[in-house]
Amino acid sequence: MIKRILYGSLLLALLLGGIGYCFYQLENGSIQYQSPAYRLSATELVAAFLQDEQAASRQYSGKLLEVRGAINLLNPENGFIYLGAPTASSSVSCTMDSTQIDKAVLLKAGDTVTIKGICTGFLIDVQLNRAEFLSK
Amino acid sequence: MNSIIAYISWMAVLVFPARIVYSQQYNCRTLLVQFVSVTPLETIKAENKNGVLLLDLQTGRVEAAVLIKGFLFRKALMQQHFNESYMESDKFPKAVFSGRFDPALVSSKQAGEQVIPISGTLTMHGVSKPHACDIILKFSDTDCQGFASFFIKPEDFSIQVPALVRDNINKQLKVELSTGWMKPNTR
Repeated sequence: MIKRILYGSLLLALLLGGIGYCFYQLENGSIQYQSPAYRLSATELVAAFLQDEQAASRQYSGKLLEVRGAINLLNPENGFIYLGAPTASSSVSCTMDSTQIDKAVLLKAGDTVTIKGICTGFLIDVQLNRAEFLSK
Repeated sequence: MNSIIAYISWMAVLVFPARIVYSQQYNCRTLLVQFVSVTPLETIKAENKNGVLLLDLQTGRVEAAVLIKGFLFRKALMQQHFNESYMESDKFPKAVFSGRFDPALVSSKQAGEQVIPISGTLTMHGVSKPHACDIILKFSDTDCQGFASFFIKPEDFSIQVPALVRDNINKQLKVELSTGWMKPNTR
């Protein structure tokens, strides 16, 4: 009986350790099938941070956002796309996921796109990371 | 006739200054910031491609900032622990460096790498510390490229590493910064 309990405990410990190890090794996956916490325009998002950065950070930072706007600057080879008014001092800076580069190179300034990405906060621009295109 | 046109062209160049005047100020919105910790147990790497840098060659001013949540790790759980347990990125969202260098040491007309010592204050996790390192500048025509590399100790910035993973994280993290080519601001 004691032997059974010992073997059972050992098996359980191995199983839990294995699950823990696999969980620890999980990589950052695609955000493709995740629902955004907020849907808004690039100008609305920038305005929110310019008006009250702390409040906007609490609301949007760390969240998955779906942002629509016109491209005012792009560097598709390096995966950077900036959304917002062409003359604005701040934009939404989207760092595209490496899987999106082939779509990014087909775009040009002035195109309107919808991009989903994780908001990481505001420096000069509002920043979206791991961003993916939803539509052109 | 040709000599008259050439004379008028030269006079136009001399009398009317160029419409675009380049300043000695550069800024970068895609500063690459990477850090790495290597121990026999584990190698931990993270990068952030969205740092910002302002470099003023005339005044010798350097400002750099990066969002903590913008650091990407390969492992999702590691990224979560970095933000929630170590850096507390909701409370302290940015790391900022503000420093100075001697502008007389920099020549934008000199080819090759120029190693410039800078010193200032590095603020992260709510702690400000004096910080000095070298920045390597390269110039091509009017464009400028910058690199820097230094070590930081998490304990200097009150970053607590739990005993369980202390052997997995090096006591000194190597930090590298790279700007890519920056164009001078126009005025």
